[in-house]
Amino acid sequence: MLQLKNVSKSFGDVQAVSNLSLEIQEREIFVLLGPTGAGKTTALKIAAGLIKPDSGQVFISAKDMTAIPPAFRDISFVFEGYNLFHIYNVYDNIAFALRSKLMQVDEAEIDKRVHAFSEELHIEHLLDRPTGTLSGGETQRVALARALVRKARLNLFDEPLSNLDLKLREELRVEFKELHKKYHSTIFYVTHDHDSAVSVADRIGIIYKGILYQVDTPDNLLENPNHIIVATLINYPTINILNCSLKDQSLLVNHQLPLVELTSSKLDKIRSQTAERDFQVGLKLKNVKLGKEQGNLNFSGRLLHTEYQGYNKVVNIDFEGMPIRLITSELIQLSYGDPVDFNFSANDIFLFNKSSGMRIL
Amino acid sequence: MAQIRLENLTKHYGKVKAVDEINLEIKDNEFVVFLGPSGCGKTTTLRCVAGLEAVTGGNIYFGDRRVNDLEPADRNIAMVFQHYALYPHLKVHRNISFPLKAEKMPPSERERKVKEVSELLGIENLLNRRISELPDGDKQKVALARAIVRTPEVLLLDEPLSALDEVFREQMRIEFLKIQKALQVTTVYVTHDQREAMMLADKIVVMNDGKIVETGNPQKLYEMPQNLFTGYFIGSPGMNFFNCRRKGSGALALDDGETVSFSETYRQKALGLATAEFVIGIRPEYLFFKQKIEGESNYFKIKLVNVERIHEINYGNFYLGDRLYKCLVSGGAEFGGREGFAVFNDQKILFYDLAGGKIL
Repeated sequence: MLQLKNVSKSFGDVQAVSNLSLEIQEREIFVLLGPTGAGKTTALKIAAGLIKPDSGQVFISAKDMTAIPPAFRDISFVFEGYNLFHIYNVYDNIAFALRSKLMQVDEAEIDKRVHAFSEELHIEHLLDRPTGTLSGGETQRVALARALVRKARLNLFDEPLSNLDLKLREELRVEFKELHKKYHSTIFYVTHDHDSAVSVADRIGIIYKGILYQVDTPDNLLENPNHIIVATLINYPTINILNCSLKDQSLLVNHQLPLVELTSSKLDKIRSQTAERDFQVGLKLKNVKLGKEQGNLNFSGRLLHTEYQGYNKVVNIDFEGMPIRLITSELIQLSYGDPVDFNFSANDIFLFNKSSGMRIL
Repeated sequence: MAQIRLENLTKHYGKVKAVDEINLEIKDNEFVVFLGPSGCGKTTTLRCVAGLEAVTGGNIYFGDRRVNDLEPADRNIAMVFQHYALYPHLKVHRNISFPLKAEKMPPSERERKVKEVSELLGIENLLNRRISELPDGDKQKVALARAIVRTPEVLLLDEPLSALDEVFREQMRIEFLKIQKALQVTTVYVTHDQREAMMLADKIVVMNDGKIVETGNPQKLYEMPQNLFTGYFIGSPGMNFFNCRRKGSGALALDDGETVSFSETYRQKALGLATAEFVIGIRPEYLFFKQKIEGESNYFKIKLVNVERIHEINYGNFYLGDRLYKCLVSGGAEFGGREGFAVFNDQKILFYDLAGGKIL
């Protein structure tokens, strides 16, 4: 449906997007997830035609749109700042694009659609209000209605929920999914908010410093990250990372403390990919367990702090000067400085190349 | 010793009561987090403690000493801001040693102190780099090193992580924890991010509209918020609040008319409340979706809209009226659209006053 092919764009010295290629399928919600400055908004604006790429092409429905102005791309977009017209009321804001000469929709049809979408988004009672008088959540709903009412073949959303407080975000996430189920629009959505991404996306692309690292379903990204950046950004709380070096068959933490003895098949797998000796071990919090367990790798450290996150507690352990964190639902009766045993299975370790960040195991 | 005591602390900007008669005690070595939405007065309170704002009324004590009229420099505090406030053209070493130089500490001792804190923060190999060359996470470590190098009695932090990438943010939280525990310094930390507060705090001070709404440790605020605002603000996903009405027959109904079935003890408790309308608060983790009732006594009928995976836990979303609620589901997307029951653990139900939002 939408294809970006080898797209690059720099602003002065800053390479905002480099050689980015991605393809969004018909009717899917595709989310580009990355921290501030990752290049996600630039990618979205290139898709919209608001930024011209330095190189590369944009295809929409297999047609090269790189040189076509935004108005002729049959897309709608919602930006972080909403861009509503405060001189108009809610109704006229929603109807605005439908009244454009390009659209040629008659007033009766406009009225029908404005009412249908404002009912879906629970803003029917606001139709007469000037947009300047709305709350944040209401404004956001109007912006969504205005975009969706066009029934464009492609909807572009830039952080559509991030200005809202948590509760509203949770609510709109669900409505968003439901609307999508009903109207089957194709959505390209960029955000830095991990929870929104995992919640709404069919597929997520992880972008960092202009580079797209991996594209997959949320579950596959969690289970099989191909790069340390992906593992760090897709997990919340983020994964444990330990600096390790390889000596003979062992991975040593801080060059001295043996963490794990590698099987020869794993060793072969490492050797076939790299000759380097420095690695980073990634370990999900949920895979680290409290106490000792036979057959697992057992260690001990000192308790730093227990975070009470409600359902789960995150236990922070000082392990030879490095932080190790784990998730448990047990109540912890320990205080600062107490010794804590923890263990994990050698099979749950992700191994990343230290210099490139690429996943080795 | 650095206990801090705020006594009827008030700060007005013209007609705006930014801080409205707050009273608070902070213990020696305690890690206290001020949490609230923007404009709630948390930063203003911190700035009053720092001496950066003159108070309109009330008193601030460090130990037994009233510090209202002391200049910031005379309060033995250190502050870290969102935007670092480092000297970008100077090297890391000069930035950290700056406050020591201002105190005219002899060079050898200065050297020792800089070494000590930079090792504590793991930035000893950056000492000869210029600030402008560093990534944001390291800049904030330098700012923290500079703040603690003087061994202040009180460490004040104003949204120190909100300008950082998510990548660095969580790592830096751990760093703050480590430092605070190692140094044993009384710490006041301001944030609007409830996760940050839950992670770091010994005690959270929830603020809204210039007032303290509630104080307590993270566990207490999570399990038993004393009012709706705290319940709403703390926890992700947030707490479910159901409006509940007592009907003539003695039955209890939720806001859309759905009847709740309660165990007898809880029914009696609910019927014994002074008001006929009240709010029931239940965390999503204590509400389970079941397709059949098998002997449970606390439940009501729902239809799941979909299932959402948050932090690898499956939550079912459902509506009563047009309000969205969440419960736990032992299954994935295939549960979307299913009808059944929300079953709850009655030990975990909280009753709130509909009008004032206070726990009953």
